[in-house]
Amino acid sequence: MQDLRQLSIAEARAALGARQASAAEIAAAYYAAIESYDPAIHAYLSLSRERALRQAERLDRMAAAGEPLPPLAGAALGIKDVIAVKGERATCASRILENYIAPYDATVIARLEAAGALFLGKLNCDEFAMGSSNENSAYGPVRNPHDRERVPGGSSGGSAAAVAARTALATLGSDTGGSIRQPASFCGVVGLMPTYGRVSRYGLTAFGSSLDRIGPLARSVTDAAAILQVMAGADARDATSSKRPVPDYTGELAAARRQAGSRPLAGVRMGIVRESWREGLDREVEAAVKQALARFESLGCQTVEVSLPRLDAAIAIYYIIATAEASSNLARYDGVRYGYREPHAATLGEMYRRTRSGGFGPEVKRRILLGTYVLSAGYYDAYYRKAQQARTLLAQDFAAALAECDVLALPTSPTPAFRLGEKTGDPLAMYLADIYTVPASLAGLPGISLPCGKAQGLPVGLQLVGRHFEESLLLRLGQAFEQAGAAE
Amino acid sequence: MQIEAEEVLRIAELANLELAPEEVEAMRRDLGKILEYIALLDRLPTAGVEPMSHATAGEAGGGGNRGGDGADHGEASALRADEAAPGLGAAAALANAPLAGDACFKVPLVIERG
Repeated sequence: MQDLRQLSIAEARAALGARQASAAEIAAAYYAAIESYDPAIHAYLSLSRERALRQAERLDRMAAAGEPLPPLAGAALGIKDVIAVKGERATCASRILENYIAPYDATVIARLEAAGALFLGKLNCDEFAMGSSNENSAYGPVRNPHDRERVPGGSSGGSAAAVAARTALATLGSDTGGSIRQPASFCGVVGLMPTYGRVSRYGLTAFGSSLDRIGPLARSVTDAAAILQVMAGADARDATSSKRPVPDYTGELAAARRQAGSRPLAGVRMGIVRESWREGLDREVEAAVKQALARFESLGCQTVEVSLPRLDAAIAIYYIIATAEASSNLARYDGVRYGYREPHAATLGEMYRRTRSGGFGPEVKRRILLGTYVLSAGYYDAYYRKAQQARTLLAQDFAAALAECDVLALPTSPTPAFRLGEKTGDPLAMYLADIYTVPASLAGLPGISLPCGKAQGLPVGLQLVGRHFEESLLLRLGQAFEQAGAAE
Repeated sequence: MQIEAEEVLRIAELANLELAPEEVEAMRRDLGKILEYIALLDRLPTAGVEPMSHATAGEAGGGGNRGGDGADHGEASALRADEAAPGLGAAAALANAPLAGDACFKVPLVIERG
């Protein structure tokens, strides 16, 4: 029998429809792979076999009855542990939520299940999605399937590693400052951060509420599009979700595949961000990115140089706004309603302090303290308000650049995956490596990281950033790039 | 930027965190380095610039309550009707509580005896 783990989302659905495979067999194939490979990678924190079995039984009954199958039928997904799946643990890779069982489904989870997805389990990440290497997980780091001595990136490290190790067909991650795109880049997979508001955040544990997004990590752009298609759209439970109509992403991609000539991207203006070529950018990463740009040109893209003059301010803005929001969002973890409680406290105040001090790891504490500091009396204007103003300027830079072109291209990360432990001693150095992903997060724009070659034998990602709600263009470019790469 | 241990302890108290002496020292060092870096924003002129308080819709520069293109899509100020809707229910809401009883969350002594 063919290896069911090789099937794409569309192929899995077709196989179920043709009765060549059952959903139960697909789930079993992935669970067997998880048993074999995950102990060395540690992408999974928990498995949801019962729910996956129930989902598979429903699909297999539908297939047996000859009913039309939903679009993601048989798509075996892993879910980042910051997203609520009812009845399953949602630890956020934190000790403070070690025993927390989600009492409801996130909106994306309900939609994906209705569309036929199978949920294999919950994926490791940096604690509360704070980190760029997955080394901040309270349950131990994830290892990069391409080189186990290296990090998978973060914070959605488990989500990227599971796709790369083929222990999930695709996964969900969350992105606040690069947490989908950077691990996708490090693990050689596709990672899509939708426009802020495109996908409901209901059921996503809040880190930085004006920045957080849910998005897919997948082996191909087509698979990522199929997942976005199901998740996107307004949700009464998230007041920031957009009411704009959802385009037919998968239909548009299929049409583009049919029409593809030698120059399928003719007429697209791609902006090369001048400030990308900066100190700290690995030379082999730069070479891979430039080669990718040449491929886009050969596909018909016209490249133009554009500028984001205030790019240098992005990290400073981000680590004020994201930590300020985090310090507020994480105030809820106090041992009263859920999660860990320090047992030996005589008073309520002592219980709060000891629970939080024992339950949070060092990076989370660092960010809570920084966020509390920038919001505290006497500093608010100097830090928080200043950062919000600078965020306006950065968003204006993007608007100006995206008036000169249709899409921006830049590296996803300045380096390929680094070694475990290499950067843990210097939090600021870790933050600075987010320079290429944080800007689009601040501006609310959609971004995608596409595998584009190797540096030091490790995967490199090219990042495309589009205008608000123009995921369609990112996907079309990504698909054409992928097809041309496969043909080369 | 130099940040004193007392300052770290003051912030920790605001954040309901207790820090061990070695944590205070590490946080003093790390926060100092980060704040020193963040100070580069001081060189960015922002007088009269509207603060971007949310990222909803496509408003370049964010700011007010309008949608992305200046038109009002009602997205940034999406308020639902003020109508009661079913919630989780007490049993589900209490299921994760470290200590519960009588349909309430239970906590240690709130008012300390003087």
